[in-house]
Amino acid sequence: MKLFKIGYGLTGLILLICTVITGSYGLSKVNQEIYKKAISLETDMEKMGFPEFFLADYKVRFYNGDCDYVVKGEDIVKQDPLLDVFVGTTIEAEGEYQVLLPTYEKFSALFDLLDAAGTVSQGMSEGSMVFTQNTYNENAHAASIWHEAFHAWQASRWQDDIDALMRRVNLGEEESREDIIVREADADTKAAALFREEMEFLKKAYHEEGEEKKEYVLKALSLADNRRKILSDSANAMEFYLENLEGSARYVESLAYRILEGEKAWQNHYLGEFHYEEGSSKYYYMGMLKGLLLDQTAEGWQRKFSLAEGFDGLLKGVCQEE
Amino acid sequence: MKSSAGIIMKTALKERMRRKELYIIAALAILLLFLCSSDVTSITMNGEAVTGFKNMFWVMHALVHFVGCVLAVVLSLHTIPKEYERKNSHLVWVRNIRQEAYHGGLALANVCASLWAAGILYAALAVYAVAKGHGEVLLPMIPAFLILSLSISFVSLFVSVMSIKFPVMAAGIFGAAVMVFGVFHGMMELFKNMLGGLGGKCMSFFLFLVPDLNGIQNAAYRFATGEGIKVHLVFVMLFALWMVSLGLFVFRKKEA
Amino acid sequence: MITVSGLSKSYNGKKVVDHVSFTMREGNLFALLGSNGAGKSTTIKMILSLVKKDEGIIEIPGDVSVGYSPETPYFPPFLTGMEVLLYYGELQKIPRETLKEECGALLSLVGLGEEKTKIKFYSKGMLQRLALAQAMLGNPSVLILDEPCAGLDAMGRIEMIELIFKLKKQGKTILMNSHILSDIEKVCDEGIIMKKGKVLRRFTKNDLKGEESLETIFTKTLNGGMQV
Repeated sequence: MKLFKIGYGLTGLILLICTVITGSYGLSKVNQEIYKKAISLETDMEKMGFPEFFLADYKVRFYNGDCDYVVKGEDIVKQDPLLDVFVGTTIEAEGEYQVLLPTYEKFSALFDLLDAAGTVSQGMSEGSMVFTQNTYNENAHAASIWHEAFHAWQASRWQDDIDALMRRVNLGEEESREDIIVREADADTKAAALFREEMEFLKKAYHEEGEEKKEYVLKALSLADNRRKILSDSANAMEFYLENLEGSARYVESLAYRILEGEKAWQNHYLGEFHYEEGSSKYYYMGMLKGLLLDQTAEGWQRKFSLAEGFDGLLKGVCQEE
Repeated sequence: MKSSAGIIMKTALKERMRRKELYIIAALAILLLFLCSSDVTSITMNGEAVTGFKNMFWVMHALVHFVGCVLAVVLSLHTIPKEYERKNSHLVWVRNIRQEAYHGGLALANVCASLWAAGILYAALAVYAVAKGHGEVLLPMIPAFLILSLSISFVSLFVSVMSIKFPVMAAGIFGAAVMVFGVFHGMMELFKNMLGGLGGKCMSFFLFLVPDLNGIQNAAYRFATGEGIKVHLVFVMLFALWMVSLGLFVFRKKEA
Repeated sequence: MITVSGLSKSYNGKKVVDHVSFTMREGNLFALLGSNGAGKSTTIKMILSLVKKDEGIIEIPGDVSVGYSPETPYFPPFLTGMEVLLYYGELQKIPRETLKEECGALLSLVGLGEEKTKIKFYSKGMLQRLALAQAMLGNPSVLILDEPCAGLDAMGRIEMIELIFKLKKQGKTILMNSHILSDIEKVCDEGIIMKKGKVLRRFTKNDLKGEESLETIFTKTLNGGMQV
């Protein structure tokens, strides 16, 4: 019995030691690597040309469910969590805009239960998620950092414009922007049909060259104008917000992913998702595609990009030039 | 010389093997297999029916784990209380068998029965994989089952230990609560954050106490599909099992 | 051989055994008599440490081994009689070489030697006999039998009493608890009559040799409330 007790106690002690030794403390290496990967894109992303947009300027908060690990450069600081998130976002803290996103482990672990709860499906239609559990990886997480960093960049430059834009939206207390889109834009069958048509023209434009490309773009933009005339000011403001602010962030994210994961994966996950469905996600892709069209037609457009005219204004300018 | 716990376990297991439980579990496994093989499925992911092997295998793997845990609660809940209720304990106590050996033997029989039940379900999953032309998962499914068995064993042992001290109803509630917290660990974390305040703090505490059984299920799934696992998770579960087994020494019956 | 003094037990403030004292002598059959709720079974369970005593002393010499047959025996229904005996024998650490042989002999002794069926098909009488067989595993010097004739038909009772008598003749010391007085009268050497946890009367075989039967003594004791 004595021997058993010693063996039993020893087993517990060994298991405890093994548990402690194999556990990860602080920000895991995986997340540190993800941050490094994201930062390593700085030079490539700078070439994009959004003025003074550097990831290194923004603190990145990794939320692990219990605390935030705030990373900037080589420094990692543990802090109390600011906000419970299961997808990335931008947050104002310490007098600046910061990137906040769940740790890779937390996000991966949540994927299956989000699937079970239908949240992935919901997240995809809202545009907040691009991947499913099987396709999400560390590169996708690094690309999300760029997406949120771009929102931080937008907020630091255009916060007043964004606020003015959102004031035009009839957002009830309990409502999300998803509700506005579903209620005020998707519900209008005529506007939805115009949107579908606009998408088709933009897709064609992306694959065409020269004058035909411009023609398709102009047709698409004219359909967009028609749609705006049908929709309420609230719906127009919401659409503008989603297409230009979220769409440009998706554009940035997709380029980061393209560099990290390669052309084929980029085409699968970003270009392949361009289709009409109810909810906000279509605007993310619409904005991204317009950004890609501007890449094809107007090098350096990023320097001119603003909320005053958005993607459509820039495209119209380029296509009507000659 | 065999240990008392071993003798008790062997006999309890022999008795269970001869009962109708076998048929019920087998029927359940066949039903699961039928569900897997059927083209008509109502399980959807991202708004689309889940029919691809990888997705379906993942869903079924999680289902086998969940059903396995439920069976572990059911199979483990009554064993020890019934021993005392039927006064079978009298004939063991008079033979000077230590309580930890007696309860330990019965708890081990519960764990074995639960693993056996989960094993049948897992075998059904393996048959499904082969039927769908994915025989390559068969071999990794063997060690994957060992990983999964940590979770099933934990639930079974926990319920067994609780049933020493608490009435069946209370032990069942504790067991079910631990199972739900463990199997839906991630989802509970979401609820915790939604709750906030004292409720959130209580949930945080429970989530700290209850190991992530779903994490183990995921680890087993990943192993079965050729990915690596985190050793830390396995050690956490082994340590959790050891901690629960302490209950065999701490919880004692005053009278037979 | 076994001495009990001042044994008491209460449940929820109600005394079910109240300062019971007696001594069992080697080779004797000691009877615990009393109507239902007299505290007989609780006394037995305290001797066997199945129930904690509140106060009192139970002296059992270290070299004395005790076998116990419960009032309502329950055995795993899907095992056979032989498997049940092997199980308890293994728990008692009886050497494997002799265990199977001993189990066979005990089953023959209680009249279950040819029985190959599972316990679930056993009658009440067969269960009582199996209970007695398991109590005798390891050849204990003391047998404690809690209502060994309970639920048996007339023939079953006769067979059981004969068996107990046989064991007594073999030199076993037996503590037996029963409320079937005619059965006890045939085999007992001494005993006590209990009521509401208290010992009302002690008797020996010699008391039964007179004109009074055990039943008369029992009735008189309980009605008269005589306390010893």
